[in-house]
Amino acid sequence: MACKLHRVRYYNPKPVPVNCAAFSKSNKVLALARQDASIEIWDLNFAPFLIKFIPGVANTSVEALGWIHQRLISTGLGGALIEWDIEKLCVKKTAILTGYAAWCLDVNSTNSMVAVGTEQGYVNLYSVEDDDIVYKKLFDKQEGRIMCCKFDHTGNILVTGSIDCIRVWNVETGHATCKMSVTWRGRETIVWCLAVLSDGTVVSGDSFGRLAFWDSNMGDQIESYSIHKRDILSLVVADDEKHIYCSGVDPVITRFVKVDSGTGKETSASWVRDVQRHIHEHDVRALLLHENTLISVGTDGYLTLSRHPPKWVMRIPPMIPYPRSSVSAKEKLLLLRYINYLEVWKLGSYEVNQSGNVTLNNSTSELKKDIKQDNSGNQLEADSEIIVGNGFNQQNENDKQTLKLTEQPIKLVSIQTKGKKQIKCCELSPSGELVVYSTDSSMRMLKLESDEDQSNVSLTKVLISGVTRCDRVAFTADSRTMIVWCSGELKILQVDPEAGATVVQSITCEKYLKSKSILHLVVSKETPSGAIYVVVADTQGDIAIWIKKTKKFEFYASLPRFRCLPSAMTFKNNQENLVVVYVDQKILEYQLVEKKVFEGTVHRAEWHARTSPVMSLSAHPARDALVMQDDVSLWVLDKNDQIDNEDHQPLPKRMPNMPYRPNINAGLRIIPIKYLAGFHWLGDDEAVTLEVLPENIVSQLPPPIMNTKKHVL
Amino acid sequence: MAKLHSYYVLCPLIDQNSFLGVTQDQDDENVIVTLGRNVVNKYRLSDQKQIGGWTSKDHLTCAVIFDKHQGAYVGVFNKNTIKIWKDDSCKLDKSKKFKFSVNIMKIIPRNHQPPLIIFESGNCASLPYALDNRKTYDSKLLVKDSETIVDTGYYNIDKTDYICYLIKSNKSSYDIMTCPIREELGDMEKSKLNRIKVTRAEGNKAHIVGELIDSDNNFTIYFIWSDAKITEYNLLKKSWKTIGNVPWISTAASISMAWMGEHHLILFGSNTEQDGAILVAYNSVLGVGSYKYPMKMYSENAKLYCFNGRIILEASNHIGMLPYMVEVNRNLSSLLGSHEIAQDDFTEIVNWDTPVEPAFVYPVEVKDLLKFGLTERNMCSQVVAKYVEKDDIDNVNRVIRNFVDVPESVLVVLLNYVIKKIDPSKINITNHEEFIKFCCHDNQCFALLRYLFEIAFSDAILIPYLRNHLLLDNALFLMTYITYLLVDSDIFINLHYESKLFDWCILLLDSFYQQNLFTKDEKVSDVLNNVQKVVGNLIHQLIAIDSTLPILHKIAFGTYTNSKDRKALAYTIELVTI
Repeated sequence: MACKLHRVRYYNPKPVPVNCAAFSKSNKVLALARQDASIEIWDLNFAPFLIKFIPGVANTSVEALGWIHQRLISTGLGGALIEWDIEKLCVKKTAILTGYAAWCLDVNSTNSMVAVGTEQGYVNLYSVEDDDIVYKKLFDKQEGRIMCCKFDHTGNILVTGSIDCIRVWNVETGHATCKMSVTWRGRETIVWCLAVLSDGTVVSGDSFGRLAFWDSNMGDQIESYSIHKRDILSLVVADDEKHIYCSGVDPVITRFVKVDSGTGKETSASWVRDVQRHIHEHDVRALLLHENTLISVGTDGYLTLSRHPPKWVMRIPPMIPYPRSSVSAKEKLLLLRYINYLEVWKLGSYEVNQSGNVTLNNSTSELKKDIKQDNSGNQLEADSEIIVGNGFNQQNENDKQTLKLTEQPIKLVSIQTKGKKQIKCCELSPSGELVVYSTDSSMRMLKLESDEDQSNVSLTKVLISGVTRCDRVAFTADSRTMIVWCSGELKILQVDPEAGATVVQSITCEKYLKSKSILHLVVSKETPSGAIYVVVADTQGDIAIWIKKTKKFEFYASLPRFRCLPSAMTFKNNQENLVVVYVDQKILEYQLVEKKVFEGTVHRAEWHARTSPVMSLSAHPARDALVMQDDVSLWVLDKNDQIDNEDHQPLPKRMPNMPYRPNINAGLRIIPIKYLAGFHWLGDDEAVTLEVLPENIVSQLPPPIMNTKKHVL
Repeated sequence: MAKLHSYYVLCPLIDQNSFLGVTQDQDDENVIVTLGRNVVNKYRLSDQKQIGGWTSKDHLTCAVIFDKHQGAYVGVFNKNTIKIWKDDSCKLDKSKKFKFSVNIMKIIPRNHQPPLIIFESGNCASLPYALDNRKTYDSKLLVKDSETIVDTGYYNIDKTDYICYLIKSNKSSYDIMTCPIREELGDMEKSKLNRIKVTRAEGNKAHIVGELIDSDNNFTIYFIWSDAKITEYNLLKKSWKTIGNVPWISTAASISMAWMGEHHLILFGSNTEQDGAILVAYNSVLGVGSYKYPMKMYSENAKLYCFNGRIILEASNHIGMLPYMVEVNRNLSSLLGSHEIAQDDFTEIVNWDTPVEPAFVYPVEVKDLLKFGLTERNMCSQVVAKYVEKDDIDNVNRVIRNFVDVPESVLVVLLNYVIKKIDPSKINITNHEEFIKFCCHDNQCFALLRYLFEIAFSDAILIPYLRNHLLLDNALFLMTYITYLLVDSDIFINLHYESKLFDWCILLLDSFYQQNLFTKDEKVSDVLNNVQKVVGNLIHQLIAIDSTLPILHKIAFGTYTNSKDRKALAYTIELVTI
């Protein structure tokens, strides 16, 4: 049976450019900072998954990030070295730097020393101790701001790049041992990025698009390549030092390969330009390598992963972190989260004729031409992922049936946060009368009232006592109980829209969960046996369950720990079964009553070939099926495959590189939607998809400086 | 003044040698390009898109034409076979063949009659007649073996069609052959055949490097000689005339010519340094070059045409296209210095005995004045003033139309005179309906007034006269009348006249600028508001046309989609199987 799908495409939060990024090789976690000073931490162990989000504060900046084992440090134009508490997701310690604004930092290979380069030309050196970062010394002051700095692999030498010159420093003495002039024909040259190879060769990228190799002992230039038309902003050297990638304002990513030449004893190595990738069309601000995957981020805000050979690209669009939307099925309300404000929309309604059937729109011929991927070389490489989805759903795309609207969606309210702070989490109660949100300092609950025709909407503040801020919030189905996660504590609040919310129970979770930051907070509906479950999954992968039978929530069970993080979870309809999808695409079903585990086997190559994690999971309200959502598609997984035979769905297109598998688990349907930001059920045959079109992301970005490529996302 | 815009490529040319020519298609907008031995394509000039075409196994030997008379395309294959096909036929090889016993040179389309077939022998016949009698066709040679027909044309004098050949003998001397055509059969009345030798004055060694029969417009044959002189032979008057010199083109190689319209020739030849080519637009009346367009490559004997405001030029590997504008009566100043005086180097024998009559029509009134050698302006002011004094509007109406150069002072006198006759003061000109009714009983006064707007003037000279002699009320009446002409009247106004009306409107606004600004009279603001409304409406209409055209175009090509769908895309409810 066909579902009435509300496709919301007006949700277009402004994409925020990425300023800098740091990758921790030991944990395989990536930290990236955006221009609004927010920091995102992504787990790259399996499918890239955003695990932590630290909201940015107005008028601050993050210009450089670094990992010291599992500790995250950053610096910025505020002139401070900041260590972040990545459990509580807040600032842990601040050290004021000498030399005002800081542009760069680097951590040495043994994770014992941090160097920060500043506006006034001071290099600040800090040493890392057990639980602290201690000021050690200042290097001799140099002229001009320090744009970039890098330790060599021993940690004895620091190389800094500034305007017109590169300096090599002895870390022990703090004196410069060498100065290399970078000026070109008397014009000011900025050294944007540096790398130091194990043989002491310094690699620099500058504002004239040159990649230069220097001998750090002699201070001589070895080689210089003018490869980019504009500034090189970032470069990265592979671990085996056989490849160098660089990119910048000219967003082509160029790879250099080390070629050993010569015979016998006299071997000499030279660097040769290898492949060029057209992946970005805006400035590339940072390049990182994770094994053979190149991570590139920049002004376009996308987190882009790419590999070669064979050419493979995966783009993760800039989006507000989960949970970014919420619905009230009863009132057909949709809550949308933006960076520092919320919107509540009343969804539109469709026309129903006298016989009770829906009316289709006459003009169904919507000429949406697929932009075919054109490998003319001059264009942007398209995402490698979507092909699977396209093969599945070609037919669906063609006979799209649009319903006649009787009412357009209406924006009821737009709620600015207090002090325009960035939102950490938000929720709309299932009854549609309460909106709750929290920033890193305050939590608000607002009562939403509107009359019949939505012309008169009022918001009233509802008092919350006992909680001042929270990391995640959820309502029970009756909207009378609110469950709040607040740095390691689970609080149960009794909610009355008139009287306010009060804490009725506090549960400390140290015993059950290792981490204080959580990924998921799921509340089940009341089961037939009258129980309500609350499930919490933390960023370490632990999942704990509480149950409310009569009055209070009690600890019920901890789920066995899986090898990776749960990316989404849900309860099955009216069953006490919890379904969890992990970031490695494994689906497990936990029978909470019998305390048994089933593996939801999907024998589909398509499913296991996925590289993006499931972002949300819900049970199909009308039949025994699971609906999973990721950034680019909706996957419907049926338990029984009868549905399929009825619908005469075309056989999936077999990928040439996939072995043929018989149709064991045929009940799989893929609906490609790019980009899918959210999916919610409104009823048995009604649902909402939140779509952010790639062109809407692009249109909100500043125009690319290097205007040479056509956009094909 | 001619102006050429930028150069486009209409279509590529496979082989220059086999290119046969470009002819007008059914619509002015489209042309038929006979690309070579067996390809015929149709192109739309506005966007250089190919809109149709045919291929054939047989070799084409002359340019395919569109016969408006029977609404079909006619082509000559293998020199002796004619095929006729409609627009919708796709296979040329299957259409019926009409084989002739004599070789066909080309086909010339005629406007309301069947096309003419020109045989290599020099004979011609109308297409249906020739088809009927193709087996028994007369093959008597009209031109000698040593001669070739280089150009043909047909023209019409007093309902009799004439055919005209330009024949080149092997000694590179040229002859013009003209002959009337019998109406039904389209063959020549050989008894009236006329042959004229093309020569220059005795002792002049110049030879012809370019020629053009312009039969459509002027009944003139143009020649360009190796000493850069352009001469014309008028087919009506059978007289020769030297137009002038073209110094910018090298006459060492051949020059292609075409007629642009509005007294302009277009010439294509090698430039004087012979390191490139040049296109020259040449005013054949004034004898001046009015625009030069340098080009990179010269190709000998390049075919050159003008269709629908565009020059079509055969280049080495493509057919190029240059849109142009020709304007007659403005910007004489830009022609300064472009004129070279042509001096005929042979003496003209003047017969002093014959009475010398001026070469223009003139009213009887000026006969006496002519003897004094007065200027036209002077004569005009004298004659017109006399009639205005006598209040003889019929004669004013008649006389003024005989003068081209009317003094601005007279123009204002006449305006005042006409307005006095019309007497708009008896109606309220701000009342739209009343005004329309008033203008409806159209009489001589209004006709004269309308003609006055047509007269060329210099605004700098006219403004002082208007300021000093025209009343504000009269100016307001004139402006209201102009808006009436522009919008409400049924009188047809051509483009040229329309632009004149706008000029007058601007002029009146200009002349009474201060009064308009300072007066508190409601009538002034009413009239000005009305003018603004009318102009605003016209601009809106232009914008509407501008935005409608692409939609119409899309509808015509079946690619139109309603833009409302796009808007609704931000939110839709769709039926999707989940």
